[in-house]
Amino acid sequence: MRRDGVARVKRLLKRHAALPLIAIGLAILIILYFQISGARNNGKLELVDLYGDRSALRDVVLSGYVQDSYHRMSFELTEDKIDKETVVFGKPSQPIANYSPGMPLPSGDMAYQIFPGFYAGIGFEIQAWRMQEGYRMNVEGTALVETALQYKGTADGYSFSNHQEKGLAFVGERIFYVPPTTRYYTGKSGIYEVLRFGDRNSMQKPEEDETRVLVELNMEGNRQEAWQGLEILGLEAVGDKLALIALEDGEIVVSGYDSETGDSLGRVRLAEYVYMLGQGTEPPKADDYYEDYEAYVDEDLGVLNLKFYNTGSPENETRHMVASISMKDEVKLINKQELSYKGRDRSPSGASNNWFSFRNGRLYVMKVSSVEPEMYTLFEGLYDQQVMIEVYENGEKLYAGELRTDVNDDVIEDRYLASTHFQQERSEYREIGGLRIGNAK
Amino acid sequence: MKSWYRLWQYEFSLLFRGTLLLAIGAVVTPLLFLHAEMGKDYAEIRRYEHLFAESGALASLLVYFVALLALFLKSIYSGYWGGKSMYAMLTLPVRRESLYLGKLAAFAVSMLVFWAASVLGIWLGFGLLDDRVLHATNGIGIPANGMFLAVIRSDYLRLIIPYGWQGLLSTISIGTAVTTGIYYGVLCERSKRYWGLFLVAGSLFLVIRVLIYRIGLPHPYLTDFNLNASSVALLIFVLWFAGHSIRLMRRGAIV
Repeated sequence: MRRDGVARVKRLLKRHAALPLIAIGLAILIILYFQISGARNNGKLELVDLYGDRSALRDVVLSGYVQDSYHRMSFELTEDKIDKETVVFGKPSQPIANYSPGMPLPSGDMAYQIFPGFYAGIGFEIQAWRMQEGYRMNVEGTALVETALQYKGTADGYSFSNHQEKGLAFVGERIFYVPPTTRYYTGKSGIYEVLRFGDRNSMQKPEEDETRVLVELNMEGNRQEAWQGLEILGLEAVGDKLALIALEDGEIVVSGYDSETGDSLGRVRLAEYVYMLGQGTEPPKADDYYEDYEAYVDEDLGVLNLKFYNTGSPENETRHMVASISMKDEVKLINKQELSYKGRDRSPSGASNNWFSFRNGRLYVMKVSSVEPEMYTLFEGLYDQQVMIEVYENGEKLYAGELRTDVNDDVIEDRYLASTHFQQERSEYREIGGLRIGNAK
Repeated sequence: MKSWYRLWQYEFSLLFRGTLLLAIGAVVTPLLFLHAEMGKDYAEIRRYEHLFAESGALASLLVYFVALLALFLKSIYSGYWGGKSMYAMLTLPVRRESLYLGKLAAFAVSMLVFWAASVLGIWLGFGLLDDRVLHATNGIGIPANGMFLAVIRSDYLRLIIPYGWQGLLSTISIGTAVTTGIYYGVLCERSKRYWGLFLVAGSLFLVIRVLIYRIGLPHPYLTDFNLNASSVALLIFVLWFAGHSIRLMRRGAIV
């Protein structure tokens, strides 16, 4: 009897074996597909309260993304929940590099870099590069800025307060530039607007003006041996207005200008100082900051948030100052906040991948830091990425929390196995970016 | 239809034992390799895709895949050797394209079974590692959500388990091109139409190009390689292979 059964099964299999196998095979493939696509939002994101009450986040939405070359998980964090949405790229692409100073400044599908010009006394060439998939492709053109500056510094080269690209600002399609000069220059500079990018060799003189002066800046009073005169740190765009960040006798001054007419919209003195190194007398005694500021613009409010790094930060502490300046109706300082962090506060790979926003009377901070892990690690690329969220009101810290992620899992293998010639394949490591803070809907 | 079904099942029954053995191998062997690899230091902190490739599990899958193609070859040629059953088949009262399509469908089933088995092996392997990590005493482990990350990041897993429709189309077009190409190559050889082998070589070249591109991702950021166009091109090859194979069968060109 039993033998009959076996024989029947054998016969059945011989006659119909393909059907059950197709069914099983398809079932495995389909179940696995759902399993994997269902896991796409499983990346870890968890807000851990460290100080104060989470209700401080009631009025805002904090957003950003975690991404590598293959996928991006966008998130929106509110007081009571975190929404995640993952997109797997159809075609993996080069990871979008976070901007760090010295790189050509990206804007839209272009990137801009500045070189010294060969014509006029002191001039600058703004080079426009076409970007494609995060790569710089080719130079689309150059715009020559001719200034009426004279350099009075030492003979071994020009000095600048900041990276040249810090002088660039974008209002829609329009491009503005101010040379970030020190007090070693005299004469006249200005805020320049790019009229066109010439298709020429940088050794050739342009046939027609490629830039125009929007605002003239007078530096006749500059004296290098004293802390006196006008120095330029950079230019920022807030909506269609321009904010010139400058030093007057070492004090930080933010001036607003209309980007169409160049009319002054007012100015505000921060009563904070930047004393750039150089020759001359000892600087006046005061708390002072590095010239390399970071700017965060809340377009919806017309507020410019400037972060400065305190030069007096002790070894194991980092001090910042964030000044929030409203450009909406008049140029007005609406908040100033001192921040202090334990340890050296550094951004991953030198990029400024943070967000500061002053709204509803509070300063909201979202900050990605690169933190040395417990295990000794030679490479900074293998440090932990840590996302901190903070809220300040009237100078007091209301709330602090850490947004815990699993992105640091990506570096564990290399932390253990990397040899001295380790080279990081950035496409396979998740990064946190695109941090923004907005009002809750 | 019924006779075609029987023919199909008959053809598959010839492949059944070999397919089943290879499928079981594709599930079990990677697990053995992984198990051995996990005995090594730091195994629990490795990314799954790295562990899978370096343990030899991936190589074993490749060997089985080649064996599967050899099985197809043997199944075609066996009709001409020994019993010369091919000539008996040609006298059957069925349309000759049914003979071709029956065998091709049997290959398709084998391919599907092998694919599912490989995927199952990879999946179970991850479970093995995940379990190991969960019970690790030193508190460190591979990336959370590692299976998802492995599938979207790993160069070779992208081929075996494509996430998006473009990758899926590409993988399926590669599979069908290889299957029909092998069959077509044999028919060309049997009918002494050797020029057909150039077409097989052409499709093989394209398959290799696609593999280079897909394994190399995301590095060919700027390469002008259109994945969908290559899939369509491969499917055109498939149509030609199938169409011309059927014509060769009909004409009785095969001796």
